[in-house]
Amino acid sequence: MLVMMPILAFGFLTPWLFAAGAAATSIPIIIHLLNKRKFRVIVWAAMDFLLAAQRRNARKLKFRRWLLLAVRCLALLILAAGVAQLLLSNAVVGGMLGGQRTIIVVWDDSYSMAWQKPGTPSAFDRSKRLLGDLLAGLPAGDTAMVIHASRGGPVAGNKPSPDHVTLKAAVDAAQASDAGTDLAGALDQAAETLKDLENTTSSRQVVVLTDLSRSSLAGAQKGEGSGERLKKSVAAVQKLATALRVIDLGSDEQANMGVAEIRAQRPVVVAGTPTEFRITVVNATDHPQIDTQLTVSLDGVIVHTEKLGKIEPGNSHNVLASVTAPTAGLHLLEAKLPADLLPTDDARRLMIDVQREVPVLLVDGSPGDNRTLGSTTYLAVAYSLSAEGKTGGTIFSPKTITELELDKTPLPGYAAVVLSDVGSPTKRVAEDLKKYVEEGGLLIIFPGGRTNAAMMDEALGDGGAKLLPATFGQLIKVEHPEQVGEGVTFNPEGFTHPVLQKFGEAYQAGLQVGFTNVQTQQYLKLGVPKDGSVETILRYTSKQAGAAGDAAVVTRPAGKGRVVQFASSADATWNTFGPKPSFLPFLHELMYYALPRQPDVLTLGVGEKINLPADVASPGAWTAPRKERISVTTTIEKDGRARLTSGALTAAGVYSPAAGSGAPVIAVNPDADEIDIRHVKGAAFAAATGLEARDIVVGNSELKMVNSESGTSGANTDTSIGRWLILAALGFFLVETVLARVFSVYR
Amino acid sequence: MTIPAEHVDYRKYLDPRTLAKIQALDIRARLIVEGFITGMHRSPYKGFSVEFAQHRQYVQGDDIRYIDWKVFGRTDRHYIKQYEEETNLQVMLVVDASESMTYAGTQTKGWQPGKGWRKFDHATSIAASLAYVALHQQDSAGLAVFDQKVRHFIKPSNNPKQWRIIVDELTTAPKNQKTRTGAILDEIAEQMHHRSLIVLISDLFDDPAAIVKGIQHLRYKRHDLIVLQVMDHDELEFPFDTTTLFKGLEEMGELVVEPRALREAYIEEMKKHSEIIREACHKLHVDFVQVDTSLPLDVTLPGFLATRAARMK
Repeated sequence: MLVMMPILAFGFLTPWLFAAGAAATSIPIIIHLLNKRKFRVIVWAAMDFLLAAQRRNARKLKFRRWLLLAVRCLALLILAAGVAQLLLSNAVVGGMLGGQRTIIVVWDDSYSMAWQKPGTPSAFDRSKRLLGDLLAGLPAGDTAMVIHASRGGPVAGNKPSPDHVTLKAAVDAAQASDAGTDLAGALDQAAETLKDLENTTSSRQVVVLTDLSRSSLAGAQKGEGSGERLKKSVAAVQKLATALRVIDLGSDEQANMGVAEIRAQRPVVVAGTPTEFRITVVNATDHPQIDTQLTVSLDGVIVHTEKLGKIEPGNSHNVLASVTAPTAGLHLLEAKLPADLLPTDDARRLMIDVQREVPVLLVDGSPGDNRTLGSTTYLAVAYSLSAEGKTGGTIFSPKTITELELDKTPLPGYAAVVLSDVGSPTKRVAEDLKKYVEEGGLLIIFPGGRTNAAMMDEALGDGGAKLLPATFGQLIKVEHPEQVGEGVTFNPEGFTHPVLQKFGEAYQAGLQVGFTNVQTQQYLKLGVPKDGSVETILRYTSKQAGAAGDAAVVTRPAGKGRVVQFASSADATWNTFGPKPSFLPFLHELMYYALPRQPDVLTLGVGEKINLPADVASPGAWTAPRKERISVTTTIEKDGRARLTSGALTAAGVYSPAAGSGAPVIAVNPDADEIDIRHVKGAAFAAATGLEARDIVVGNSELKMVNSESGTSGANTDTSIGRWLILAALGFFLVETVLARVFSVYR
Repeated sequence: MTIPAEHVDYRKYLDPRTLAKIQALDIRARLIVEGFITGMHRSPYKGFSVEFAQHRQYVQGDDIRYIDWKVFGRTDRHYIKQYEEETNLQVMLVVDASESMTYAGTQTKGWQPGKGWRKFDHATSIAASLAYVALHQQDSAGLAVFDQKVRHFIKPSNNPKQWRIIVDELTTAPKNQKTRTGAILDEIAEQMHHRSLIVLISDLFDDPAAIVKGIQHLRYKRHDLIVLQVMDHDELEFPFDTTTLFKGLEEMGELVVEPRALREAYIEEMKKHSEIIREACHKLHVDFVQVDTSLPLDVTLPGFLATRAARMK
């Protein structure tokens, strides 16, 4: 059994009461002194003999007196301590003395608690019964509080309540949430509550009901991350509570398979175009899992099935599923595993807003005519063709305008804006571009013969819109461009950058990927800041062997968007990249990499709230998982835009407006961190969280044990110590009686 | 004052608590003597002299050995033989009147500090009784009352008025000084030229060596000596329970003690003191008797006198 008590190691629950008791120990001293002063007087003749006897026994008598005094003081001191402990374990007296008692239950209602072996109750069911019994057994006057330890789970009040009936009713009606465990958060809340109770409540017990799954530790064993936080939270509670104990409701048989992630490989999904989705499956069992069947469905139609082969215990397995959404609009993609004993995470959903196309605005600073090619000609061709160079199959929809048309063109409708050989943007254009990028747009800049480097820097650089990743510097010219090999070529540096990854794979396969045969005759030297904020995607070769060449393509996020900056032109006037076969796939890969991913407002986690543009769906009642309904309302934000909002979504599944087609709009997934429900031994949990092993109650007796403890308001430890102290005091009184009789001293 | 012996239950008058209520020492002494005579089978008078003096009618308590059967044969009445003084015996009663003798035990009924049956009362009762007995059998009786020095000295005499003189002296003796028993005994030894029976009645609260030395001195002068150590019952048993402030007589200071804690040691000290004197007396062939003031005098005196008579026989 666990005992949280220090006292001499024991900590006194109300120091002032103990002090009063201690003051009572002065009673025997006073009695002792009074006895010395209160005496009868006898005129005595045989004084010689009395004096002689006194002289002979002086030291012995003195020792006896002090011994008796010490025993009496000690007896009273222990008695006071015992009575104090007993008093404080009594609710009524505790209340009278302002020493109310409180029990705070941190209830792990995360979905791992729902793991249920056939024929046995789940840990959640057991915790629910335990908590109900505990609340039913609390004496009147005691206060209790239940803190849900699920991340984003339900919230049940913010202070202890004496209304046990209402608390029990809430517990009885509770269901396991689909959220992950957040023990640290719940313990922090408990600590905050305890701070307010420190001076008013004598007994402050904190009981944690949990299954001790690995997910509840979440890195605690590594001593970092949330585990370190959990340790701090435990320490904070230990500092303020009179007792902290963890009831282990878990089982060593706990095992689980779950889908941890489903994610599109591209930032945009375009209708009719295959898109790869990466699906991650976790084996949180103690055995290898072989050929687990994964099923991927789009809007309920199976589009991909795969046997996952062998997944080692504790490992995850990634699957790439190519899915083609037939139409633009919202689609529900779902990856599913066969049902196991914890079904919540067997499926994972992704709401995808399928686009009809990716509109790209090409701004040509030197448009061509019937005789010459414009600077964006190669770009237009590249975005009009598929990556394989075929007509059709591309997701991009390029539109070319002149530089002069730029300030009249609304930019938000385009996924990307490409400036090619633009002289210098006006201030207004610069501001529009800044706003466009900061709100999530992609800006790609190619210089050219018309580009005034200084003015470009001034307009879009740090002196203006602060968009340029690097400054445009001096024009670098190669001396004899007509001579083969004299031009500057790209140095892909091992194809390590993600944009070049596919080229690298091809290069490794022995294919000619075309970067090293691109010749550049002129480029503007890019002044790349050395603070690491700018990625260099491509470099030129250097004349000096071993030295890094000048940057050819750089990029940097800006606001919610991104800017890509080339050093040379998009046409063939400064280089030979445009006509080369690598130009088109490079631009496509660059686009996939650089296109900012818009925040996924359609796929949420448990505990998150709906916050959508008002035009996505209709407000009102929405259907929710578990046959529930939620209310979605329209709110106007500060910028005047209308949004659809809701309260926190507590159940995993799909949400859709009740009115209309009933097509899902929002998908909510359980916390992927909760998949690993393998049981952690109490000792390991204690070691990882800074608890003592005795603080963890393990086994099947926890129901009876905690209930009996809490039935006495959780003050069993206090009363037990109190009883022992009183017994000890009685023992001392007995010793005192015997000593007094032996010493023949007055009593 | 004459009290008819046949109508009085003398024994009840011999309890110190009763005697304490009787102010007149002469009455007390006669009560004592008549009382224990009535209760004894053997006359104490014989303790001091052995020569026949006269017959007297037998009374209950007389030793039947002294019935004169010849007279009985002639007269058919019981007479016992009484004896005259064989020698010119002088009895010198030496009574301690120091302050320590004023202690009156707490066990006496109706006790109050400074009142009740004092050791001095007990001592004077014994002295008066013995004087009465001695004079009654024609011995000479004298008295010395002392504390630091001999306050009164009455030479032994068998004058019929001697008993009254002794009683008066005992009644008026001062009792508020320290004691010097040993020196006093030396002084008396020097003053008594005729061989005498010296009866020292004292609590002997003094240096035992000095006392023994005084006794030796008296024995050296060939005096017969009887030492009666008069002790209150409290002094013998130390029966106190509660914390007590003991104020010493004879300027012995004060002491607050828990009596139960000290009782054992006190009694041990007391016995040690008495034993020193008792052993010295034994070696010097001196009678030593410790008298408890809480006991009736008819228990103390006849016992002592019977023992002494047996020794002298």
